[in-house]
Amino acid sequence: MKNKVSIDIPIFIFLIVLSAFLYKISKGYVAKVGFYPRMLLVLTIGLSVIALLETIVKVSRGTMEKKLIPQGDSRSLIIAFVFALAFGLGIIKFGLGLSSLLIMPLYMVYMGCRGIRTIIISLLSFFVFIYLFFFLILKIPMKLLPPFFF
Amino acid sequence: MDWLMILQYIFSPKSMLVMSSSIMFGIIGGALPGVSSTMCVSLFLPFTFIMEPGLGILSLMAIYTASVYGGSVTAILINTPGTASSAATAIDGFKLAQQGKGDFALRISTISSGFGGVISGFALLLFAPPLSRLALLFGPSEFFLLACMGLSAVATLAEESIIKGVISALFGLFLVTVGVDYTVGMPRFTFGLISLEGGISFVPALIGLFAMSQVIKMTKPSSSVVHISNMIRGKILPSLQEYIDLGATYLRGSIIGIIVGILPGAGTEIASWIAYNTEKKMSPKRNEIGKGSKFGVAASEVANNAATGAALIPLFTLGVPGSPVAAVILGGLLIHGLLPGSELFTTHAGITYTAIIGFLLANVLMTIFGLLLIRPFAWVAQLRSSIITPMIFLLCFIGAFSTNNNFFDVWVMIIFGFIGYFMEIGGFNPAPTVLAMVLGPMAEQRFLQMHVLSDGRVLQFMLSRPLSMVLILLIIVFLVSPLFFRKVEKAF
Repeated sequence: MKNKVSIDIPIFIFLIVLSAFLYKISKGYVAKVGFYPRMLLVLTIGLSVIALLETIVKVSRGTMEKKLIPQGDSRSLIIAFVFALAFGLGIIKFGLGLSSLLIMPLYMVYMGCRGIRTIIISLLSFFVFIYLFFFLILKIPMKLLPPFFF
Repeated sequence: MDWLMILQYIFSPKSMLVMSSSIMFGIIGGALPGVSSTMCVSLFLPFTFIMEPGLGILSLMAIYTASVYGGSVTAILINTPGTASSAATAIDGFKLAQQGKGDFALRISTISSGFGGVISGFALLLFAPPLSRLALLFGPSEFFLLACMGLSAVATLAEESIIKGVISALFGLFLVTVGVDYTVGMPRFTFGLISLEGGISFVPALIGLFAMSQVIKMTKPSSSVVHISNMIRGKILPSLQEYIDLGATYLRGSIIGIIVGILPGAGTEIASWIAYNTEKKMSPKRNEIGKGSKFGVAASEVANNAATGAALIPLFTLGVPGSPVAAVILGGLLIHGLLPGSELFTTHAGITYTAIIGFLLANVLMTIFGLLLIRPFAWVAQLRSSIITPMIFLLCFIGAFSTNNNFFDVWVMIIFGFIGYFMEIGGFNPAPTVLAMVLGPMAEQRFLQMHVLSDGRVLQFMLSRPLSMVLILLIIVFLVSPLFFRKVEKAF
């Protein structure tokens, strides 16, 4: 725990590098277009440098607690990313209905829901609500099922 | 303006249906721990696009006030405030529930929230129109400074450091520059992606920062189950006797709620704590507070709901949102083509007064629903995060897609979800980013106008205008006020 770097430090370094990279890109724009974003990027770099130095000094003096990603969060972060990616691709490829049917139960099981009845009842009632509110009343043009179902 | 038409519109079946569903959505959302008022309003925002502007804004306001009330349900029943503004309610509310008086505490909280909400609606109705006339005196420099004032007010919400709040705001201002520049039509930071030429959509980014980031945070296996049904066994409807001695508490709580609500950066949370602690010092039954007293519950709940409408006064009149929820509502106003200021009370008076009077009615409806549906709401408090999180996850996707009916916005929402997660871990408040995305175009446009008018001497130009000087002073006050509020919070 003691050897770990406070998350503030990589965040500020990332901000400085990203802003510098974007600043370099903005140099290619004509003056009128590039002035405003450049001004914002310079301010971001300046403030990030100040905050970075402040964090380093405070952490080394022990006047500031090291901020770390909470234990277990790294795994959850990856799982959440996988679910989001799979669901995003799923609704494009298979439609909202089918991808929900495939991914939502897995998500619920990962979250600790074990009863099959609970999963089925909660999913069914939520789908009925989604169908009535979003598809029938608000008429959002999202695919519910893949084309081969029609 | 035809008041009768406004009333007819508000009481039409369509408006009543929208209002009722918004209130239910707000109460249930507010009652779920981990789901904030900002998240509720953000998730609902895309669905207001298909509504008429007045009804759309009204539904957002109704969700706001209902979610602040909803937070008290779990605060009382399971000692876990659904929203931060009900933390003070939990102290006495949960003690009452443990004594088998959960139904009594919920009744007190419902009536108090409704009372506070109605009072704040009247404050909005009385104070906002005269204040909005101030905006007529503004030129480009004042509008630019107003945008800065809004940003400084929200940037200072960052819990740890003001620098982080300002960086969040700069990040939001930068995001607005992505896309085709409106002065010469040149693409900026699009990296060859055609979908980015129209800029980054505000709503998917908002859903990502406020809702998806929380879903990512909540994605953890959990098996905890809460049983509370035994705490709700008494009568549901209130009796006059229960409220006779609460008059002074309601008066104090309402005044505190309205004053604190108007101040940018303070919000419902601080209002409820100040009211609770004032009650602890001034109530004739002060010794009972903290041990399960109706005075503690009433003070906290009347103040946090009184702050809701009051927080909309600077938003409607000057376009300065003092809280993250107000920033989201500002986004809603702009998406519907409504600019805060005098126009809102002249050209668009019909829409604005529909929203404000509807807000008054929404608070009455919220009280009725709250009293009649205490038991189902208590059931909601038992729902596990293993069920809630996947549902919110699904709503994020539908909300992001329905903004422009394209899948690119879904990816934007996911990316901003992760950005929001890391922002929170690093102590960066996403609210200034969202507000900057709303105010960014105005800030850039007015800055360039001022640049042309002043022949490049921007600072000199600003300092030569008395109104600009006042706004600069106010910005300084907003930047310093959080330090004051933190001290007040600690003192209480």
